[in-house]
Amino acid sequence: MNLFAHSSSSLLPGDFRIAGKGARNTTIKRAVFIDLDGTLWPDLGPGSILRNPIIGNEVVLRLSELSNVGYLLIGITNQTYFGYRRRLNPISIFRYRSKMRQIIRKGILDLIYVCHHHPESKLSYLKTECTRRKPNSGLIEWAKEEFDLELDKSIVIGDRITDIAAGQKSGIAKRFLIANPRCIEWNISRSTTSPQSFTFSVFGNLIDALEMIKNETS
Amino acid sequence: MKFNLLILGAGRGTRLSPLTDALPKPLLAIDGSETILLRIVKQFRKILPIANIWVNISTHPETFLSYLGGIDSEFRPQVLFEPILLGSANTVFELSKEHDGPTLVIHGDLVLSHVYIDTLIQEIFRNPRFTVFCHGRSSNRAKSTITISDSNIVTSLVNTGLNAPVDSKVLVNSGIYFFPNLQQIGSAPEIGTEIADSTLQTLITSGNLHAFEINEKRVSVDSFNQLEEARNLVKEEILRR
Repeated sequence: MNLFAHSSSSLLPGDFRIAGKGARNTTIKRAVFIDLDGTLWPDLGPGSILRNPIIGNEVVLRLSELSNVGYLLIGITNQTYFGYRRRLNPISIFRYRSKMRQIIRKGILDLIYVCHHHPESKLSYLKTECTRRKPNSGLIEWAKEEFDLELDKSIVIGDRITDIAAGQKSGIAKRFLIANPRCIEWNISRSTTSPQSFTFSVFGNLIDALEMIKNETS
Repeated sequence: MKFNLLILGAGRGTRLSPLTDALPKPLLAIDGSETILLRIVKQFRKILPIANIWVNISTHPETFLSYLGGIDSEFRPQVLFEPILLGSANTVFELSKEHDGPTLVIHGDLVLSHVYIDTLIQEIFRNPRFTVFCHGRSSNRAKSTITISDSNIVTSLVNTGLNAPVDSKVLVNSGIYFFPNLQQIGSAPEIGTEIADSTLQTLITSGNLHAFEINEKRVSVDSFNQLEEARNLVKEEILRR
């Protein structure tokens, strides 16, 4: 058992989540799950958020519109920067958590769920085939359990087929892929439980995807 | 009643190499920048109330997805991505896991005249049964043949190679199928099998598969000559309008 799972206060990374004010509204039962690196902000390589990527104003506006029409906005991310890509660095971890809290504090997202595990992590306690690491559906199911979400009315948006896979496995009906040259990159043979196919809608950018959700809702 | 449209676009298109070395066959341009895929979508969108449009992809997926991300959302199909090429029978089966309803399945390399589409749609509305659309052809050029009873019920679909009897006209599968629903497809076919080989075989056995012959202009883009033929068909249609 990983002692650091669910920990949001420890500086040692495990699976964790941060919640904002929006998460207090327990009447909301549908969610938009959004991948972070490469979807909410540009993919600048591992640990993108530490390089201060810009979240576009229009994206923020569209997200707030979805919040207003009754979606919980949930970030879901694999974060292998610590442990797998780099040695453990407490300052980087502190900065990473602070950046995540800023996003929540600004109301851009209501919740963020993070999985730091990786099957080839350099840190033994992070080295595992975690069921929360996308393409597995654990992060989504964690949110579902905490907030009693109706996944058949929820949406997942990502820039990788692994995001789509996580959404499909958890039973999310609408799955949106933001097209980019690296969206299919995934060692499919490593995921023995992969389905034979993935169905999803394609968008050129996140704004179009968010607009589609709003149009279909209103 | 709203219809689903599944465009089969996952094939490798090796006979059109080098054009298809980096480009999926449905993305070959047939009129300026308009691709075979876009033509199919526009033609059916114009004439049929559509609930969902899907295209299955497997070959050059990033190219396919970049293309789809750039086209008008009105004509943008949803995607069924196959990391391993499943074969059309299994693609339909995969789709049936999450979706149902009347579904038209069409090969993504088909360029159809507007008259062809009109005839096809009329038949679907007139007779919404499981249907394999086919065309007549001299038997010595037929790779697979369809045998039907007097009431147009398909009694067999036979892959003949190119050795069909040379005595008479035969019916050939045109690569377009209509499923009134997807839930009756049955169990998963073997990976890699074509629709005609497996999924439809079940329907033939139960006497449910109907054949309908359309001999209006259609081109299956499988060679450089056929690509040229398809482009000429599109030009003719534009001139006629």
